Amino acid sequence: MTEKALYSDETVLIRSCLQLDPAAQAYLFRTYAPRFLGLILRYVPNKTDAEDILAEAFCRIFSRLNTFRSQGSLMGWMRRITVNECLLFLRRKKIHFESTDLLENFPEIPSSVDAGYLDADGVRKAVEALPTGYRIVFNLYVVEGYPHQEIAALLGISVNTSKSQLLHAKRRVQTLLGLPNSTEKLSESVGSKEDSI
Amino acid sequence: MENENLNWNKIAALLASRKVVPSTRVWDLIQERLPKHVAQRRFRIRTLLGIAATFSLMVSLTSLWALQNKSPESRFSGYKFAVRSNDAESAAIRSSVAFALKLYAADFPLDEHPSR
Repeated sequence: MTEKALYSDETVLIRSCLQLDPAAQAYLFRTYAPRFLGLILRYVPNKTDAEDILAEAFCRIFSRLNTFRSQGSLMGWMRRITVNECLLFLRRKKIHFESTDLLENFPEIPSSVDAGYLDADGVRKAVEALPTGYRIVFNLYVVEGYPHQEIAALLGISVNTSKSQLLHAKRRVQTLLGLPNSTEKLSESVGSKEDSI
Repeated sequence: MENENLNWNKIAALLASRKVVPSTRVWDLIQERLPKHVAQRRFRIRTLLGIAATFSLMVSLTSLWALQNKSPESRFSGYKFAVRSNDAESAAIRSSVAFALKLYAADFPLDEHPSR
């Protein structure tokens, strides 16, 4: 039986990893590592740092696999651990998020982005060009789908700061991608109080 | 609004689809920190025991050879001398041979001996 056929059943793969089977551990790593390294690079663009985080995340995954309950997907569980490792790394770097009270009564973020003709490389470069704080909140909200309350709790910032970081990040992405920007007028009203990291 | 969300979702999907193959360094780092599989641990212990036993046996045989060549009288009865004599030197050799054999026994228990 080939390795792929043997471990295609997630339960078998998890059980083998729990028994410290080296082949199963290597299979799990080979299958998910490229995706997770792509994820980490969105938060930490330096490849050496990103690989260190990946190693840390997989060590945590293997050591905590016994706590995984099969209610959710293994992929989602591992993804969450990886994101947490990224945030832990970034917290150690002491990233400062300025609070922006002016944005308290801001309307919902309007956007008229037409993503129909965008290529992955262009989008990736635009997001990489964002300041760290914008990039983290943008990734957590737009890509991972975390709500603002959770982002605020994870990063130790207020919900309003999270919202404003996202607004500025979206505006910047639209500008970088050369897309029509409908948030310009709104942003002008807080232009002097822009919260950068 | 739904259409707008769809567009950001498209951007999110483009970002999430990125895959980057890590260097072999990452897997080496992980392996260093992972607890070892039982078979790997046993293999490592056996290797160490094997090296120790071989070294011990070599020392014993060298001592025996040295003893045999000590005097012309003992040259042909060296083995007998080493095994039966109460001499302190031969006692030391006997104990080191016994130690080497013990190590081999620990390394390859009878039920798991490679010859079986």
